[in-house]
Amino acid sequence: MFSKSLFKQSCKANGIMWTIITVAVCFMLCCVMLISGNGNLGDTKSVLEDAIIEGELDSQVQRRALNYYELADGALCHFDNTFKEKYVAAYTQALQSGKSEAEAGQIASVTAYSLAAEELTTYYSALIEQKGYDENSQEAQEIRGVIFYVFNPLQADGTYMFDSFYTDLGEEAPRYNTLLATISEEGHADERDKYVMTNSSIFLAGNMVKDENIQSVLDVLSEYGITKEKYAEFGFSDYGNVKQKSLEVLVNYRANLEYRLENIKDGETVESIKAEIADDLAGGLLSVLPQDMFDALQEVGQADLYGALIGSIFFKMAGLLLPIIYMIMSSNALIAGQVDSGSMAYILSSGTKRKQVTFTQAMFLISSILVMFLCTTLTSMICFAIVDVSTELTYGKLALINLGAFLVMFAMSGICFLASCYFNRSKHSMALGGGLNMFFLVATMLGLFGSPVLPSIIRMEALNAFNYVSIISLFDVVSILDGTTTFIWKWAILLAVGIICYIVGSLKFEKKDLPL
Amino acid sequence: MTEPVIEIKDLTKDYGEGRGIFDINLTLYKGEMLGFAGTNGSGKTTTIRNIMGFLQPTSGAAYVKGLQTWKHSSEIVKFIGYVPGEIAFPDLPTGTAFLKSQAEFLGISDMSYAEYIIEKLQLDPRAPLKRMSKGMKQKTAIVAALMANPEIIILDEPTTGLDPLMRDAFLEIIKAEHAKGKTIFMSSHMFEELETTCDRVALIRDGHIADIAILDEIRNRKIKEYKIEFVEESDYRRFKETGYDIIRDQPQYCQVTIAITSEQLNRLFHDLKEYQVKFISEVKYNLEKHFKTVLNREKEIKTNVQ
Repeated sequence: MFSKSLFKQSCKANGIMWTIITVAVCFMLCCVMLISGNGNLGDTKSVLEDAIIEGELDSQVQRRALNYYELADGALCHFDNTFKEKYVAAYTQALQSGKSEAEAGQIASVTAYSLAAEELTTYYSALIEQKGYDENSQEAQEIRGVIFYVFNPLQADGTYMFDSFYTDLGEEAPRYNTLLATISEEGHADERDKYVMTNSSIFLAGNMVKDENIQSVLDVLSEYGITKEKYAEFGFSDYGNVKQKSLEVLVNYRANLEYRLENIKDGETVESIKAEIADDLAGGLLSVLPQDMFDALQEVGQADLYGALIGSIFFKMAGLLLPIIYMIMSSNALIAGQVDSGSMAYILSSGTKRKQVTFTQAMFLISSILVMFLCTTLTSMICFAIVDVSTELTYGKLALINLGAFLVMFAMSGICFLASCYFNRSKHSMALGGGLNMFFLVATMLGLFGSPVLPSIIRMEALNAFNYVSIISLFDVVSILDGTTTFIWKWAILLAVGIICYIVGSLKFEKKDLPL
Repeated sequence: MTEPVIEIKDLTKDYGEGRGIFDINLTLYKGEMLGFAGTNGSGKTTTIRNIMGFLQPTSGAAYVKGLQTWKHSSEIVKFIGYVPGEIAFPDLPTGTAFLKSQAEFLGISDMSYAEYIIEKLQLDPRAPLKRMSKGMKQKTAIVAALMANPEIIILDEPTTGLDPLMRDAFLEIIKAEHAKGKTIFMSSHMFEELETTCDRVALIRDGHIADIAILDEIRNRKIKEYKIEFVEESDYRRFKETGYDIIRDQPQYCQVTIAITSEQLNRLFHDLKEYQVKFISEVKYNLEKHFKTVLNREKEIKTNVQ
């Protein structure tokens, strides 16, 4: 089946061209991988990415701040009401038992305070039940923390429960009791609000800069792939910064709320107004941009440019050009060119069967392309090891991409080989083999602009039609990079096309007349 | 009777519109050298390609040593040394590289015979293939064909484009091979070279075999023709009466062409002593003349039938 002498002859005839092209392709690959890997690939993209991430982190902080504020304020409001109730009851009772006004007042305050403080626990339990949280859940603990840390209860032994938390942060420990003195006055609500605002912000900031909490925030925003370093870069690990953000949003919130409640319209409830203001202030980028735009920006931000460059641009287009040229010229030189010039007569008159000729030449063509892509695989692996870039590419995926490129070349070389076996004239063989495959390549280039590889913002959907007329589209790089398996059945088609073409070509060559 | 080595039976290859070869019947015997004469486009190369098994016949078949050529092409070519009509070498650097490659293909390790031919032809195969002259290329092709010492040699117009000296050198080699007992099939459109070398010559015209001439018969033809020109017209007229077989008469030049047997030769010269002869020359009966005669006869038959 195999003729060693013919194989040798083919090697000698095509060896130089093969070497030049392989070296050129590997060199180009090196340049592409190393230069773009160490450069600033997509600076604009990073800026965009950062803007989106920062916006989302801001939004997180602001929402929490508003949430804590409302929780604490609600709790303290309840406390106030309970306090007033119990105070009146205790005061009356003290007077009745013969204490002086001043004494009664004193006793009443203390009694009312402790009763109302106890009451808070019940309030808390009712609240978490209403919200549907389990007592031991994180959300419940959070709410508990907010309420009690802000309230900072006075304990039986005269110390305040959470003083150390505040002093550790360099802040003054809050004293709600001082505000209780003015509880009946008009300005009390305002004072209470300010108290809550200040201390809930301290609580928020103090907690948010703790490691375990940072991690939970990162987990919530895991889809953005934010690292701790990036997080710190944006300033969210800085206590003062976070506290400032919280205070800012709360000031805005209170001002807006006051105005809206004074000018409440028909159909609006306090809840709906509060929700609206919260969305407005803490909505992040999503609230400003339409969904499509936001999705598009997110896509750009998350686009793996390096993977797209290597996989889709190099191994599906630019890097295939030289191997295709080699393939066109060598497949013609192996059969049709020799029939055209007449030198095939020497091969056949030496006793080599036609079957041997096609088999040997096919083997040469396929193996030369295979070795070429083994070289590119090796080169790409080495370059990937040298380069340090954030990308979805792995060694495994690189190997798959190289294999995919080889399979595309296998199928296309099948077409060239078929043309070479079918025609007796070089020009016909190159016209079909070369023309068709060049068309595929150009179609793929145009189709790239309409494909999912490019972010939707710069995609030109209409050009996607070209992807349907090119055999190179069966090389699904996007699928490989994403880690799905759709690329496998497409490879099966490529393999089949190649095998069929080689077989049909060989059969045709065996049966046809040769003008030698 | 020697055995047939190549047999062509009712071979037809129809390319349409009257082109091709039709009902070719030809047999080559062992040790024979058969010439194949015909004008350009008459079907010589097509016939040879069929013998080599490169073309599939429309009908009929060619057999080499009993094997059908289209079916068993790769086997029969092993007996044949083929010099194609167009010299086209594979893409290799020098003549030596090419000959080495051919040796590998043919499985020859002993290059002594090849070297013998190379020396005989005075060829330097180290020259680059692209830069070789036509003569050098032809010589290289011959070495390639003969290096395996094949028993059958097929040559398709091998001397086209060679200068007369080269042609002679080439024909000498072919004759030497023939003398060794090889069977040779050579096509050409030059009758002279076929005449001097072949045992038989087949004439092909418009895809049909018009005639197969046996050179022995032509060379040893009993009848000879002589052209005589007379000085005086009276002598000319007198001679015409003497009863020789006059086959051509040119009164304006006082020339007659007569056909006589070798026995009559003496008598002719005796008779001519009586006349004033301007010149006498033998009109040699050669292959070309033979074929022309055959073709004219055919034409006559055709017109008579019509």
